[in-house]
Amino acid sequence: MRLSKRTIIAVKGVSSMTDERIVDLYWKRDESAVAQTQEKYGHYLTKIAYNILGNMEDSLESVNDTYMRAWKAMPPHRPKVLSVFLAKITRRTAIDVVRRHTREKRIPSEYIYSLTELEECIPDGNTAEQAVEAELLAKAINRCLCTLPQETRNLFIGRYYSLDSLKDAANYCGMSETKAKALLYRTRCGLKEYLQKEGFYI
Amino acid sequence: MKKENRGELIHDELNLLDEDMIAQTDNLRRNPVGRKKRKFPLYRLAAAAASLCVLATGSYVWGIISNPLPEEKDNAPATKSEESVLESQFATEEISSGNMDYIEENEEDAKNELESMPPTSSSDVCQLKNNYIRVSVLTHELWVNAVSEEEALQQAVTIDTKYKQDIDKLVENMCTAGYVSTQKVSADKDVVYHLFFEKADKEVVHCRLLEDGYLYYEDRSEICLILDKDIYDTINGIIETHWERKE
Repeated sequence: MRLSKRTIIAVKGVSSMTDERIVDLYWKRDESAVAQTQEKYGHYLTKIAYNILGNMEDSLESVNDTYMRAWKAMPPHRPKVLSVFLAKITRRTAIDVVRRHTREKRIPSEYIYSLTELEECIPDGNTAEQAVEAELLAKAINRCLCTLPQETRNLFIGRYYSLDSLKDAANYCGMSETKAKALLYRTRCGLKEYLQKEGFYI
Repeated sequence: MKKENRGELIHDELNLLDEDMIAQTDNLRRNPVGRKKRKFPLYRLAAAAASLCVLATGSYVWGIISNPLPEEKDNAPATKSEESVLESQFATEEISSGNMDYIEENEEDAKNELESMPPTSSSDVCQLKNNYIRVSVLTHELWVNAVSEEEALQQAVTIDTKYKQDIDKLVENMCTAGYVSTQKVSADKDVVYHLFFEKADKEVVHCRLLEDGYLYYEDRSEICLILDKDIYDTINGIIETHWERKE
């Protein structure tokens, strides 16, 4: 399914509905699910993508990719929180775009070309071992964040997951920029220490 | 692993964060709590008050330091008065030897000094009845000021220590009695006034004010005060005013 920018604009103005109903629409393979998602979470997802990409055109493209991936994922997946599910897809998509762009901007030398060619020889990160390791690391990060006070946790997730600017994150967490900066620094140090204790040496 | 790659890895791991946790943050992002209002705790108020107190104390102390105390002011005439005794002794010698140049010169100086003096005689004498009198003899100057009882007593003590006993008694009488009675005797051409200073214990001290500025302490038959002509005139004016009022 290919969703154009025009389609997204056309569906504006549709009344919002609950997440459960939107998910049901996906499960029924009803195309209005995408329009409803756009209506309800379009701005939210665009913001996440823009935070990562810093470019509106690429951001809109990433959001459109998100709708497409969501369409593919549901069914069989039934997300617990639709907004988070969509945000994760957008985030991953946008980060992939950034990485692709960064790679494209590298100096066109033979060394870089060889790196790209050699990358093909290395098995990708989807091996069972790497996947387990990544999940363990993710769980450790989760545990560490759970030990943090709510204010600190919100700030950390806002800054590093939602990739909001320090100013914005500090603002919606109700603290000064200086305090937020100091708090983030302490949290990073704490996370590093925690991961080392858990046996992760990245 | 490179630093960049480590960051990328963490970013990838963050994608696997607990959904509830992210939802909580998302909720906050949509409904921000906003910046907390700055509190103005009591200790800040106390600090401000303390600063004000320090400033006030500092300005008060500075005021004391920069303005000389009244006692210091009173010390100045005392130094001068010692000079005046010496000068009066010298003047006695000069006058008795008939040195007219010295007398004329001094008369001019005295006139100049009186012109520069604040108007004391007329205004202060008006309050003679109701107030105590402070008399301090400076160099060829007689000051009569209306002051409080307490200050008059202080001045009396100061004068006691600085001047001859006879002058002190004269001043003391003026201070304590608060009034002066005079009797004019025209028969004796040298004597202008016979002054009777009545003390608090009703003892009368008889003095003669001579035309040439000599003040005789009658009971002891000795000179107790040598007055310059202008000073003499000032005293004369005081006595006349007071005499008229007594009448």
